[in-house]
Amino acid sequence: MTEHAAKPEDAALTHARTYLSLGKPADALRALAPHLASNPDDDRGLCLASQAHLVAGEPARALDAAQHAAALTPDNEWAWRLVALSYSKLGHHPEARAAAATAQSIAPQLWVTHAQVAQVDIAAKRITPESQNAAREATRLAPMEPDAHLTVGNVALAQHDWATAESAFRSALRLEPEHPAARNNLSLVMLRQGKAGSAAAGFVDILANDPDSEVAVRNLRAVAAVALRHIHFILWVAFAVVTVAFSSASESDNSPMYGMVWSEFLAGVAAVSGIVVVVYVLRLRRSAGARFGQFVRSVPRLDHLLTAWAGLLVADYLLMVAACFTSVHWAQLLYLFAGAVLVAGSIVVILRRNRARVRL
Amino acid sequence: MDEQLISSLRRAVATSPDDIHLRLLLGQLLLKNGEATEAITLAASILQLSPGSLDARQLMNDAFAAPATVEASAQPTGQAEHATAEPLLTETSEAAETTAAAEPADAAGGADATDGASNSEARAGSNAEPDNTPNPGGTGTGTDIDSLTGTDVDSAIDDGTDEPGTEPAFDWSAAENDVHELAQPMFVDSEPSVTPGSSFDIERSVVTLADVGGMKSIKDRLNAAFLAPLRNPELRKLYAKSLKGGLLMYGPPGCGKTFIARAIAGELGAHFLSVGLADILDPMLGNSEQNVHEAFQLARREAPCVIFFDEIDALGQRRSQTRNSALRGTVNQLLTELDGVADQNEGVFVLAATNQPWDVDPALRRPGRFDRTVLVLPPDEEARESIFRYHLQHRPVEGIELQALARASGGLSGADIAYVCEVAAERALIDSATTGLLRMISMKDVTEALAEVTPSTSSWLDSARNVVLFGDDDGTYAELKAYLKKAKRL
Repeated sequence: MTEHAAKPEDAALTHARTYLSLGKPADALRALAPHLASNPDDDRGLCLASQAHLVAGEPARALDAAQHAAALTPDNEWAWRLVALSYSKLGHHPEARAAAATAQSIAPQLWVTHAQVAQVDIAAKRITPESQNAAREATRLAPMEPDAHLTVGNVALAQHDWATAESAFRSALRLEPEHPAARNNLSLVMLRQGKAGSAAAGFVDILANDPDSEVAVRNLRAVAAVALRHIHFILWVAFAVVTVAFSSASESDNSPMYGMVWSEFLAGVAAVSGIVVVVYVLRLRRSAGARFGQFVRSVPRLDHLLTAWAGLLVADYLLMVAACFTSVHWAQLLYLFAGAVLVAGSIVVILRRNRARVRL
Repeated sequence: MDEQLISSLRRAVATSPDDIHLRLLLGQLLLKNGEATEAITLAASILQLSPGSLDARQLMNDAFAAPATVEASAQPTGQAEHATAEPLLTETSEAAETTAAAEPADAAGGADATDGASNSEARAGSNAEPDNTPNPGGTGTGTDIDSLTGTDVDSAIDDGTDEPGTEPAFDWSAAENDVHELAQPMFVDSEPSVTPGSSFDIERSVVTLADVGGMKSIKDRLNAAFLAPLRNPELRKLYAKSLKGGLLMYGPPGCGKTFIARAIAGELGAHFLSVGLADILDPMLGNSEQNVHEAFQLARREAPCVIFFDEIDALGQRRSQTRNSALRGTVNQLLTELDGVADQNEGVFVLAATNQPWDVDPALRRPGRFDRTVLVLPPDEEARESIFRYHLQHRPVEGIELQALARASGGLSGADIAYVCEVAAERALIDSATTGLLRMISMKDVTEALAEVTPSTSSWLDSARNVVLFGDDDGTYAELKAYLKKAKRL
């Protein structure tokens, strides 16, 4: 009976841990408050409070609690890791690195201290051989820990080493198939490798399990933007070819291109660009699998600017097709419109980028 | 003389609380006697009963003038304003003080009063922190004193009670108080003394669905899915309809899920047992499961009883999502209790509410468990009007057009509307305190407050949109999808 008993202070800490595992930092802090009031120097309580503040998005408070804990027990690696994480969230990267290194020197036998060093470097966007070694050491110490593999993958991702990153994320997912960060980052690697369809399917899967995932929504928008950028590029090329070839033509049979007439050439360009676009979309569909439909349907709901962009691209293609069936004069006019529409599409891209910067 | 009169009037007011004239008289006397704060409280209570009472307004203004003139001369302007603002808040601040006094441990710990800890959470807090300080009158301490003094306890007590004329007996209580800090108790509990499940409060619900303003579609759905089979045992027998299974209500926060649960209990004439996460979670191994069992046992004993699980997404989280073994055990226990054996759960109606049904363990939603769902959406226009009426009816208001407010508050939850009324009251209060002239809460105050408040349901609706877009392969959220389409969010 007594072996299962816990002191009241331990009970408060257990409560706090449970609330943290449920993603309820406010409740965790509430559970800790009486304990910390009567035991203000309990480093475990302070560390849990720091963790709760970090989950609640209050890195400054987290730093206070973690620093207090580290000052009370300087050999507590957990407190130093929390100091590192808090500094990192606050953008104080040198201090974060120093705290992570302290944790690493205190407990070199713990994989988390090595992973922390690598994570701090990733946040600082400053990957060094030390970061790589730290990540590798973490997996060596804890080969069955998915987060250790995730760290290796994140380091590789930051270095644009797609193959290593993919392999590391897949290792993490083998250990924990539902690991949300590993799934997200693997999809990101797919996107960077040009496999937009697979990436879209990955992000849709994440959202199916965790509809609150803001990161997945953002990444899904990014996939849609990549796809539209491809199509936009194809249409720009088509427009450029026609413009260069027929900029000085005035008659329907006045063609400098292999003796072709206006309309035949315009039809050829429209058909080829259309086929290239269709092939690209089919490839997307094949790699996205069953999730393709959901992806396409979701885009208009997730981002109105993306919808506007897609609409402009469709309008541009329709103008190009319409130009095949008109006189030279009208065809030139329609192409002028098509050019304007493509420019408008580019303006939408710039607007989206600016909006994303403002959000950040 | 005044004191006696005041005392008599106080008794009279307690006997006839609705007698405005009596209250007014008492208020005037109190003011005359220098007790301005209490006079303001009385004036405020009169205005709640009769918002148009000019005498009450006059009394309030006079009472305001009394302390303000005294304190304004001694304090800077800001402090004087605070001093004048305080009396208007009397009811609220008194309630807050009472709570703080009743829960010193939580308050000392800075238990985040601003976060609005629920009663259930407060209860759990007291469970987690049992008072293990030595009891001066406890067995252990008494035994120690006995051994210290070497006297016969029984004879000493007999001496003191049977022979009043003799020397006063030794005061054992005083002696215990003197030495209790020196002498430690012989035996102490290493575990908290609170037994699992002992913190549940069961109540008889007095509200019914008729008290829920508007929301007709939800009431219809509740009737069809839950209440009709319960109310018609003959039809139930005819169609061989089982009573097994519970009802899961989901929707954005602050839209009245808990209130509806109480109303269902009221409709059924059943007891109401509300169970929150904090009532169940226990750091002792196995106690969380035991708490779940105790809750069901209590509901079975008190049948007919509605047992209501609030935030079921936390308690019954997908087991694949949690690494916390204690929580996995709790979900398993909940499944066991829901399944019951034979007619064990006869008369026990299980309801649950969640903001995030997509996080609830799928096993909990299988047939026989929480197999019926009702979407509780932000209140419709009729419901909003009722909510505005409810929150404004006990405040001094004038010229409030409820229908216009209901029309202008589309998308707000019940909690948002309560906040709007709070903000409007605060505006009028601050204005009254600043000018020293009492004024009613006007339509302008409420509309301005309404402009300040943004619907708290937006983020929930964003998540819901993602669920419908990506996670509704089996059509579970068809009702939600239809609503989002109608609300042009899809």
